[in-house]
Amino acid sequence: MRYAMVIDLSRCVGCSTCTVACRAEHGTPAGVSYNKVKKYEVGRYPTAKMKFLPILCMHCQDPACLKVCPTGATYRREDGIVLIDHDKCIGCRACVVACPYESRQFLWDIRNYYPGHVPTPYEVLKQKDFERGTVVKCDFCLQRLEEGQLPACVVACPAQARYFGDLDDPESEVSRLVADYRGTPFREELGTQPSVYYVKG
Amino acid sequence: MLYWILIAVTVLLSMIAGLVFLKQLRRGLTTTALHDSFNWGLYIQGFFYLSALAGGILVFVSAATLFKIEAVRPLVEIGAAVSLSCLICAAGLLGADLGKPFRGLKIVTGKNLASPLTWDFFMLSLCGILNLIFLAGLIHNGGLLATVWSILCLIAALAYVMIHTLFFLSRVGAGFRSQPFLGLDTLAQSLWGGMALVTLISLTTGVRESSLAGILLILTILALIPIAGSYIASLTSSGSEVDIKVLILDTFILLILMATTVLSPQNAFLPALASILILVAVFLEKSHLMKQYQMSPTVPFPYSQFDEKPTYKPTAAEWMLVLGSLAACVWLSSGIIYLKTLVGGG
Amino acid sequence: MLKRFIERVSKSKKPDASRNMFGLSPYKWKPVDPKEKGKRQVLYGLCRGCMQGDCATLVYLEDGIVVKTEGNAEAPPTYGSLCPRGKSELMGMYNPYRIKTPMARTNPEKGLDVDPMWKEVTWDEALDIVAERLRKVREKDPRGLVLCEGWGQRDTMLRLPFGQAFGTPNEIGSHGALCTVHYPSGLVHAGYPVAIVDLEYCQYHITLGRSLGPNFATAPGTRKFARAIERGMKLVVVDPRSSYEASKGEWVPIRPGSDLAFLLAMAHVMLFEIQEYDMWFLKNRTNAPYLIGPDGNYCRDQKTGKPLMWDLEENKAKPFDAQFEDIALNGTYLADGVECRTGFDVVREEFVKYTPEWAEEICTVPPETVRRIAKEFVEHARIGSTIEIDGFTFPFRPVSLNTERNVTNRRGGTYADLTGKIINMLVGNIEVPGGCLSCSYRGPIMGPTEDGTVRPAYEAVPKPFKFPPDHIGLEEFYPHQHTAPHIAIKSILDPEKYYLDYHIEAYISVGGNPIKMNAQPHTYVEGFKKIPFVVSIALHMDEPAILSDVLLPEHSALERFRVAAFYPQHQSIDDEVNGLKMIQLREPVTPIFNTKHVDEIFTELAERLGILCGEGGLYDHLNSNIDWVDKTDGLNMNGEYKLDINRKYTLEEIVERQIRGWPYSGGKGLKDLKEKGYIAHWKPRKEFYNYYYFPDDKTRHPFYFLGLKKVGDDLRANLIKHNISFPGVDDMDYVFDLYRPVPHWVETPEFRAPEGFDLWAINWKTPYYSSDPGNVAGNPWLAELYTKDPYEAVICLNPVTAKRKNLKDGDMVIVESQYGKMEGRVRVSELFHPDAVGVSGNYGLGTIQSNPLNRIGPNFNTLLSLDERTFDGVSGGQDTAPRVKLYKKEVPK
Repeated sequence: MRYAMVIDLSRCVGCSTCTVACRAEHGTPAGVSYNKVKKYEVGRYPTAKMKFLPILCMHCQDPACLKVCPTGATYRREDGIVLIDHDKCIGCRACVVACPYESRQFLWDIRNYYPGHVPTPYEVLKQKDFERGTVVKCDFCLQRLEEGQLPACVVACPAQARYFGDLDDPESEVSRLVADYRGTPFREELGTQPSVYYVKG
Repeated sequence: MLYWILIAVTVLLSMIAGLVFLKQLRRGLTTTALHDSFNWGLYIQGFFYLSALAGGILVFVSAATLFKIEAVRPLVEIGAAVSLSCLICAAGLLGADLGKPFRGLKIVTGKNLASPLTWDFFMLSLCGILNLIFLAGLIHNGGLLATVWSILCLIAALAYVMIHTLFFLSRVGAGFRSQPFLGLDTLAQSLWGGMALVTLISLTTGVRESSLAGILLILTILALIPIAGSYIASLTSSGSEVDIKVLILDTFILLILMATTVLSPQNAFLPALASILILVAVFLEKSHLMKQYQMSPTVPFPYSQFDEKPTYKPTAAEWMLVLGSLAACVWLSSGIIYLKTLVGGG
Repeated sequence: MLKRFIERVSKSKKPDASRNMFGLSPYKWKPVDPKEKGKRQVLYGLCRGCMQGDCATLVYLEDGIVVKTEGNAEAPPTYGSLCPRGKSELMGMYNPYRIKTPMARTNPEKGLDVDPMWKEVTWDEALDIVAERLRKVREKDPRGLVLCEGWGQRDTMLRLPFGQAFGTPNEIGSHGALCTVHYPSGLVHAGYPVAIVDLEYCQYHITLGRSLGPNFATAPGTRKFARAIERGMKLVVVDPRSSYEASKGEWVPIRPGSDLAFLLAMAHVMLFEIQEYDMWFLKNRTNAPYLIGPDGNYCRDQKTGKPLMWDLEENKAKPFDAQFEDIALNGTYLADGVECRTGFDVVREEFVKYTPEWAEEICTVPPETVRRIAKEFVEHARIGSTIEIDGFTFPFRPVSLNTERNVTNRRGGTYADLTGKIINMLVGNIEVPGGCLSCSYRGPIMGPTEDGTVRPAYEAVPKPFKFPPDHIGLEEFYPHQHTAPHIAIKSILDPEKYYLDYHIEAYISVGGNPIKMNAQPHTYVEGFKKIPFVVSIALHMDEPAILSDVLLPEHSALERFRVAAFYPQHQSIDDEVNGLKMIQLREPVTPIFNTKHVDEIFTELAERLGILCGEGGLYDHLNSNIDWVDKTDGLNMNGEYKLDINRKYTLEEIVERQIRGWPYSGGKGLKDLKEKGYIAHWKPRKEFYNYYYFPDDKTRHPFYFLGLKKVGDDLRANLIKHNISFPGVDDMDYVFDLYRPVPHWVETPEFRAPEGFDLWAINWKTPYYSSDPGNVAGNPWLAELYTKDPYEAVICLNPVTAKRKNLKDGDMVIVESQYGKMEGRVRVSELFHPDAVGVSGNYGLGTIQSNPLNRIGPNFNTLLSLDERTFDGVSGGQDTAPRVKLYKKEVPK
């Protein structure tokens, strides 16, 4: 079992629903986002185009973050998901510096959504899940996976550009996509063996 | 008299640093100017700086012990104390930089030997223990114990320096941030800074050792090579930025030392000046190192086309904490030396 | 700029004291009701993050707190997907800047930056004050009440009958004046609001000035779009900017405001160079073969009065519905002694001068591109092919050209849209699979008039003329208008000039904010100040609210009970929803503030005014009203389920009756609806192409727009009869130039802007900011996105233009039109036409008591004009692309 995600860049329209879906699922504090959509331009006028690259934790098989974590707070499960044990995290941010994908964020502070205001009832509920001074990142919506659901970003994407499944299963949708469309991870040359593949980009 | 004023001032600075740390415990690292695009700043720079100095001094101390250089024995004694206090302050700064400072010891339970921070911790702890052993008066010049001790020191200090080169600075992120000259640069800065401190100590204790200026000169050249090399490399390609200030300062130091060794070898003032400048230069170089790693966006162009360039201007609080830590080295080393004179003789 | 502001404010421990008095002390949220602790609940939701409002959601609650909104994976139209606004909805509810209890003003001075010194009042007090004032207005002259609706409040069924029962004709919309896209589809398709593309089959789609879905991230639109592109549909986007959609197809850059020229040229190429038409369609399903006399009207049969066509075989003119051997599409003929030509010829003759070379001067599109696109369009149209759907054979024309607001909104915009229709009609793709469909009610609506042409519907039905006019938006003078807040505000400020014989005495704001969302905010503020009594059914302290006398706080979207009829096609249709008739439920979250449902408010007010029950009352009107858009397929009070007009009902009771009376509910009620959150009925797909109801030659689409000419002629006659000039425009020819039956080139005043105004400002909706229901600009989750987005809340410039003006990325500039100015930071981008100054969304303005986020960012609408001479005279639409000049702002060191 190796969980993997495939993102179809020809379908992605850069709307950032995935970013907000992730926020809505986890209730991350203000300024913290496990998913980002990079927007950039290619070409020159009059043939320039907008392009989009959604990035998240790549759940690498040989993660740079895992190697540098001094307390072993970052660990990798059998099914490929890389997680952080927040009881062990000392907030040294070596993993943030080591990660080539901007996947991790250090909780400098738990800021409220409305600056200058106290936390909303939603935040009071959700802020319990976050500890100032630790590092957070995407966990492939592990809780949802355990309930038999797909990650929030996959379900919410209106262009249906995200796929999720078991890369060890050659019949799975993600395996087929990677094979049929020569899916490659982002910055493959760095050798961390990500579990997020991009096709048609 | 001057001495006591120095102690008083440094203690005061350290107390201010302590207050800043307390405030930081309350507010988290938002008292600093660090942010998502710039995670390691003045504190880590200070940590690298102090541990580099400690490592450099330790190399000198162990070399002097190994080769039984009696003439510099007093320097060695004081050097060990300074090295130990630098290590303690470095640990303090690192602790101040952690999101969860009081969990710091989880590094030990983590046992992740792939992590340079773990190696940092163990190697620096080893250096500290070795320093303590020396300060306890267990190591005399000559003898098998001294030899073993010296070799351990050399291994520990060099290992600490090289860890960052091999495991971290060049390997982090599978090498995407690696620099070609980093290994030599780290080693050179450490030895250079350590010797500069030793030279300063020699001048305060009155132990004159004429070869010190010469050693400093050699180390200056050693430090200058990777910096000049980086600069030349950057001229040809649009690679990493080179801090031109550091290059100029280093060259200036070189000139001073050349003047000293050639023209007035007995002069005390010039090497002192050079040493102070070296300490500044090493600090600046560490700052440059921090910036180098974080000034360009993590994700490469064109994806990061519209990312704002990270800026980092340390807050006053950060400066006070670092200054206080540097100040603490002074009174700590004085305190250790004083304790030693109380406990043992000599 | 935005990010730094947010960072600065959030770093400080104390609330930012430089802010307003309203928000000085942070709102203390009530603690969680202990009874709710540990409870988990899922409610059926209906998103209201944008104007579409039909994405089915699930609303999750923990401990009584809304923790998540998610697309309902089981339900159409989104099957689980959503958009950034839908996902951020709960922040619109937990918003400390909301109005939390009814309030009344104590400071008589009004202004956006003036503290009203609110006094909290009870609901009864507030409603009594409002009812009393409204009673006086009604006694004096019920026309004195203006009800302004908008996208902020689409969950009401009682607003319309309230206004009717009150007796005021003055229901206006704050939206729509910048989006007058309805007339041509009402004329040609009998549809509303616009024409869309069949993304299930379309092979070649040309889109101008609009969005198919991705441009502002509507979930259903984006779903359909992604599948169509993957299927291989070719997309051509003619736009001054390389938008999200343009980046997925071919981008044809065009100078802003010049689409009419492009369309005329493309039609020219089809009429004079390619000359491959759907002859059968033109001859049998349009009025192109109708004979037109020298006066521009149909030549009519002496006996029957029916329009004539020429039979080439029999060599004579016959009424259009006679038997024909060979209908003539071209030619000049003598009919009853009158020389007449075919409509096709009249139209074609007009287009002879609109060569692509001529157009290039105006719109900068290279002639080769125009020719190539026209050729590809015709090739892909597969003229003559058919397709069988559900056993019925349709013509199959898998191409469509669609235009919307950034094309139609300026003088001549109606002609541009009509030219688009002509282009479509030349290949015969109207209302058939793969082609150009109207997004309206599906059914037999395209039936012919006595003249054999499609009976115009919706906004193509002219409003009757009356003098002096009754309508504050002067629909008497703009009989095909969409909404007219811009005309209304001028009439309010100067009734005499606009021939009104009454004054506006009261204004109720129901989700509409014309101050920020139209143009010339200061003019609107003056208008508001002039109105003696302003009430806002308000969500947050927006511009109308701070100028109000009484605030009646309403529920946020999540808290509003709602059952709505589904509307399957907004920008496109495909098999995911084709054939679907559905009603959807929103189960409300328990309100967190002392707010009321908007329809509760209307019920209470009507009751106090004595217009709730009885004849001519609110319920009476509700009984007789039919859904404006969906007609009998909407939720109406049908048959046995009509209300007893003499007793009061709760909202649930009314809705129960609507559900039961819905033609496809099978007698089910609210309880059944609560099972799945929706009740769906799938009609056979053939019934979703309106061609089905009037196939073959059973109806004819107007190709020669006699209807437009007639309305113009009648209006002109009325002006002469009453000896008045067109309001706001002295030279009536300037207006009636736009009522000709054949589209032709007209200039907008912006083309002749004074020296120095060398660029055009353009605006577009974005994934974070489409319209403004629930204050999207102030939503912190969306703010996190738009502050990081490189193209949001900035002034976008082409690099060549930026260089020419000595500007670089990040410079602070002032953008100035002839009507207003605003400022922002420059973003240099290759995605923009060199003549364009791109500003997205609509940030800025705000009030002294709003969320600080509402006060920052460039306010595009300040640049727009309220001058009648810049409008399209037919639709009343304002120009969305004013000429501007751009210069660096001098920042004091």
